[in-house]
Amino acid sequence: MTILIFSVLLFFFSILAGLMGALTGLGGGMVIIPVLVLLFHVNIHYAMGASLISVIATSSGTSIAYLKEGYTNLRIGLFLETAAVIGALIGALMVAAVSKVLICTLFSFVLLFSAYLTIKRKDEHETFSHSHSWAVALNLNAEFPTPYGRKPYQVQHVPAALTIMGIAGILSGLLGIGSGALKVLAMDQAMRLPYKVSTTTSNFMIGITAAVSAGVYFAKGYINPAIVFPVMLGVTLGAFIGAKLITKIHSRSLRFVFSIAVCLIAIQMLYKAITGDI
Amino acid sequence: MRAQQKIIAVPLLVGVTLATLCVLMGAMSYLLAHGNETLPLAKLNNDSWKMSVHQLFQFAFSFTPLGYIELGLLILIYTQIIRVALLAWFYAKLGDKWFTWISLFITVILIYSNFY
Repeated sequence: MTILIFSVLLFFFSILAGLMGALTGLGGGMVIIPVLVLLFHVNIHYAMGASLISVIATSSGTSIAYLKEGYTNLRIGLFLETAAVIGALIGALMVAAVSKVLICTLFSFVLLFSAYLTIKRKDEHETFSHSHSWAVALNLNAEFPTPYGRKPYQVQHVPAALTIMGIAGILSGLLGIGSGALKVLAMDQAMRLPYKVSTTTSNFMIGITAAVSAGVYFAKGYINPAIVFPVMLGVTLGAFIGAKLITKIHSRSLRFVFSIAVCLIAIQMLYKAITGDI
Repeated sequence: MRAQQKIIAVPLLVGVTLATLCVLMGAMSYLLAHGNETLPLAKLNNDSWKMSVHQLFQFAFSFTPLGYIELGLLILIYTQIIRVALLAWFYAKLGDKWFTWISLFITVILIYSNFY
């Protein structure tokens, strides 16, 4: 295979990754790492470096659109990011000491868990009349746009969300992913935010968390520009398209199909890790 | 809130556009020079890209195809630092001490991880 063919193929897979990342909130890393490792036999550390760049590109590409629409809650994003960046720094510093087999095994379980959460999720849950004391003190409650005007929401269980964010940060640094699924879980299930607020705020956050890990990955030499450039260009394009499409398409069936694909990839990664073929 | 969100969106758009243009320029030059060569997978998997921050900047401004790509990637990452730093400035202007400190804390972690 020539460099041109490799780059073009990776570019098209990356468009798909960016598109899926923007539409499902799962992040581009879920596609990029398996494609690079299983299909192109790239060293998993370099695949993780490329994935981190894809996460930053997805976050940047989608945040622009979502910020303008007014869904993203910047105060919640920033507050939770304090735990995520500490976790990401710890995870990224640990990465060289952890075996590739353990990374692949952990990555497979994170994929399966993310797919499960994506299939299981309900579009909206009940609204609350009160909020957690930290949410009041930090002024985290806000409004989000609906077809009937802006609707207020009350934030719940802030400490639980902060704890989940720390774990999400460690996984992000350790596996080179955005941990979007865990971040959405923290905001959707713990804080009980409207789903669109959770996914858009998560999209805003994953780029910042990944930028912390990317700094460490650069220093360790895991970001190879010859592998990363098709990923960065493709994911950015895919994320822009996804951010435009998200308001126009119903993503429930898409989420289901994507989750099944993620499960199959996870099983294959797990098999390779168990047989030592990584 | 809306004004604040738009203030963050503009530097993000500028950063992403600049980063994409740099990477695109490097990618085109790299593929024109090496596109027809066989993919050196063993070399790609074993090449060491470990560099100090100084070497990283030297490489990014070496005006080589891969140097342009590296410059674009650095712009993309530093855009994340700028967007959080801008939020710190915004909250400081509003007199919101808690969120000024929170934003500054995240900015410091970002700077430490990228320049340590």
